[in-house]
Amino acid sequence: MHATLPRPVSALVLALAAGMGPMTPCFAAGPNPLTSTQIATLSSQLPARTLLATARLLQVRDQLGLGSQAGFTPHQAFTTTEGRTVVRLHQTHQGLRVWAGEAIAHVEPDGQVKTLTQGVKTGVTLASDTPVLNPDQARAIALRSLAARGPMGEAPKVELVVFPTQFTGGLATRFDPKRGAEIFDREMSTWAKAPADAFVLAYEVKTLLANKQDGHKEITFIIDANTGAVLRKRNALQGDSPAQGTGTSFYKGAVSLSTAKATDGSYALKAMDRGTLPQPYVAAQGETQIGMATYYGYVDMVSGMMGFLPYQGHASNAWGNGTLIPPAWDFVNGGILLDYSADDLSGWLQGALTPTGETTAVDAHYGLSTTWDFYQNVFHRNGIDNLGTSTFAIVHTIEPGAFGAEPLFDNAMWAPWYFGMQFGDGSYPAYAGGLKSVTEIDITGHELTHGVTEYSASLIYDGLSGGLNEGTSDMLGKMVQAYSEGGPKGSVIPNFPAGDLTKWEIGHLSGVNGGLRYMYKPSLDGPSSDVWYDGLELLDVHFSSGPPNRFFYFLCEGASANASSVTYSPYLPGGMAGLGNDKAARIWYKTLTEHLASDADFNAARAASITAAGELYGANSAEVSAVMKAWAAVNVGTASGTGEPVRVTFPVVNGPGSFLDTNAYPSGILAKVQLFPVKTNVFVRCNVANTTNTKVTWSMKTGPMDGYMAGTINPDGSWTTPSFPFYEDLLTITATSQADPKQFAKGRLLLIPADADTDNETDALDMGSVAMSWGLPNTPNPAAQMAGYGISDWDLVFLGEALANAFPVK
Amino acid sequence: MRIRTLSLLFYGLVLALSLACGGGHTGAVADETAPTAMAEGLSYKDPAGNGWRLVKDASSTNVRIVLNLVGPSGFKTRGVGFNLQAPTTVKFGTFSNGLPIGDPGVYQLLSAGSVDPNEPVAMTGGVKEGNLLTVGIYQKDRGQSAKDSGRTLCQIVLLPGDRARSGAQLPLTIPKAKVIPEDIGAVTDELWLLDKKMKMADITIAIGTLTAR
Repeated sequence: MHATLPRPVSALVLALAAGMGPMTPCFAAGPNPLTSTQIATLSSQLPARTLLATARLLQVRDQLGLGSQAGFTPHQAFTTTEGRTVVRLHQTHQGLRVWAGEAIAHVEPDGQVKTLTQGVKTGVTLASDTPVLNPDQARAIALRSLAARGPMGEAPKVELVVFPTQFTGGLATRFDPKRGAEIFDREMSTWAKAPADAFVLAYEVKTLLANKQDGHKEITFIIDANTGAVLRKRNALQGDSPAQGTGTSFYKGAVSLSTAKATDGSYALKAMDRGTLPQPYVAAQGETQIGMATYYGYVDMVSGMMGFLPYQGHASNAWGNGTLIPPAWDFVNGGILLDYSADDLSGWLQGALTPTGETTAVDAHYGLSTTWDFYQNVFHRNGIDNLGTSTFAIVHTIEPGAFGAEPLFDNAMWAPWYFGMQFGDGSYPAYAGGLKSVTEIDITGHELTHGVTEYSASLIYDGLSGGLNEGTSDMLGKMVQAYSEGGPKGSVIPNFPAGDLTKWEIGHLSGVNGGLRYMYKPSLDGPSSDVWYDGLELLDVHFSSGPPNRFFYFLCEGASANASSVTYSPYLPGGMAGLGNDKAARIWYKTLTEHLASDADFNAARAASITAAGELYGANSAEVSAVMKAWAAVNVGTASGTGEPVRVTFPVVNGPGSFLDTNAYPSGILAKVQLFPVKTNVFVRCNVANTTNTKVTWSMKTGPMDGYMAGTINPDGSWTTPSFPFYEDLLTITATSQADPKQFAKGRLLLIPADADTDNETDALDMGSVAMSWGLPNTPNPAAQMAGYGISDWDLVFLGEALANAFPVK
Repeated sequence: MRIRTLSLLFYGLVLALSLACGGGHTGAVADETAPTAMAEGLSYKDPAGNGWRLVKDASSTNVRIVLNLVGPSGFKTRGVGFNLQAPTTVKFGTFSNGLPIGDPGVYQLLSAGSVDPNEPVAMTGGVKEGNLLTVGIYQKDRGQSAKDSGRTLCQIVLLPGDRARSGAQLPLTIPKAKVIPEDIGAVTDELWLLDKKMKMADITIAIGTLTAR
């Protein structure tokens, strides 16, 4: 896939690069834009300029605190419309990729090289240079942890890497829409202890499951190459959360489609003009797909395996009829509704191949084609990876599920393993709150943008970087919609009609009661936040995207100064003027592709976007000022760039190196979580900075929650914990500054049913009961279980923390 | 707090006046002239017997009494925990691990073969409402053998708390104490058998006499 990029640099090649031989002529930097000929010349020098970037990074290696064994391997490079070469490089150590270690280098037209190294991991040392395990053993460990019930979709991919143990995963959470809260995700939790060393040799093992027993999962493991411990585990699928919005059906009406004509005169839904390199997943199956294709899901009736087939063999080149098939599911008795091939060997969703079924394919094909054009025409980006690699969409997707095979319903996703996208049919009208079709233009733009993000900033899909990842897809997906409604043609993104807020709802036409998300006021969906606060990083990424989404809305459309307006922000009471879609999108695209590192948080995004705006429009420009105001309006930084607002934060109670910090996934999710026993008098703590009035008002999301109440935290932080651990839910508490009630923090509390010996008294003797069960595959004493499945060090630490917090020695 | 400060000043003044007089008073007379003499430290006399008991460690001082929990020789255990009730005239100190319980190293707290000093262990402690010390130290890995209890299995620290009259006995009681016995079943046992064996056993810990001084 990256064959056009140079291999790691040799000394000889470095000497050539330093001599600038392959790069002459250079163009002086200046205010005048380069001509298209000059840009073309610079583009032709991409390999040499990539080498130059690599060489420069090696020169500053010592300044970065990296040893002689450090290196950099370029994995992405492109030339911007200003003539800058942007090179993203994997950090290496002894030739191995340092996981999440990345540098960005800018080679300007005049040959100057600037390096952005905030993503570089320093202090890399290894206790041992040789892995104890071999790749096959690592693969076997990953497969044991995967515990697949059905067959593997593909052989796992294995790579030996240097792993920063700060990213060690342990405890995973997921958002439970029924409870409206984060809960433990037992399946995705790993219970390994973090290595003592900051860096270890590890195997990254990527797996693909796509069968009726397991469903569709793309889980990536990090396996300690010395101990075999599973250090991290995450699902690579990046999709929308289900049932977050409601809407009506979406029809674009008559559209022009780019298709393919076969030698027999039939037509296929394949845009030959979008993509020049073969689609990699299809190629792995021994087939060839060049161009962007739209497929439909099918199931092999003999093997039960699920796959996809092309819309092809069409006698006419007219597709769809503007109406949608209903969800192909028997909602009364349960069970998928299929049509079958003449030989009964294949099945697909009922109606998928009828003109009505084709309508969804038309929406997806049009939407992704427009998205491809958007990136090509506005940002001169050659597809998802900027290399022209072909992609595909699967509509009428059949996914493995509890019933064997199920429609995808209310979801769409970017599937990295496939280098493609999948779209569901919705569940409306069977469910009034369901979606009609998940192929609306901003959603197709959203999903393809996930691919663009993966092949640029590669924002880690959890925590605040995950919120930026989701926000980026919402922002640029919405820009695809604007581009579509404006033509779609040309290189400028038009504005939406002034004042039409429905244009800023994600999937507005897909449901009956509005969109999935509301960029102008994200909190309208319930769980999303309008602003940054301490604790936001614990939200699901589809909701922590709220502040970046609102930032982008403000940057495009401005913020109202009317306190009763939904576009008003009390953090920027005077409001602001917007820059319009085109300028805002260019600032964010430049931020994404040229400045953001994979683990960026909102402060890093603010700084990067200020830099990007400065590069585009001048450091003292109105555009830079607008960026600062838009971030300030979502409580990130100040509009003037000076001073610090009141900040309420929860203390780090499980700091770096502690068991609960290094073993939690996402990393640090438990850093501020205070643990207490149930039915005990305790004190909850928080910090207030930048004011002399440090008093706070406490509130707690208590419920009624499953019929129980969690009580009230008193102003001094004292609290009698309830007699019930809320099924291991993390309870959300809010501390609001009395000095500035706009400033608040949301923390999490975890209640432990600590009475392991069931004598109705919580004390240190309960630890004895836990110790007796430690390590047992099955314990006869379920009361000893504090943390999750089995009894392990997690239970000891949970109980120890809870007792220490409840019974401090004064 | 204010009253206590005044008391300190008062006794400081009394002491200064006594010194100015050149001394000469007997201890008994001094007690009479200062009937409210308050203690600055603690003293501890070990209990009799060879069973479970709290005995004073040689490292103890007048203001920091370190008590060793010792069990009967020949009796093997895998861990012990107890609650100790004290009046407010006694405070509990901590060890370098930040806990009110010290580990002299008899119990093997790490899993067998582990050399990781940061591995979580089953040792905990705190002070509950009402000045109830609760401590416990346990072997978590049943692969570690049970240990003879006739040695110092853990330590606690007593410090002077609220001011007490000098010479006053400060009552200590242990309302609950348990050990993990040697036989807690095997991993291969049926769950019902494990359930039967995995019970902590009650013990009685003898306490000496704590006096304010």
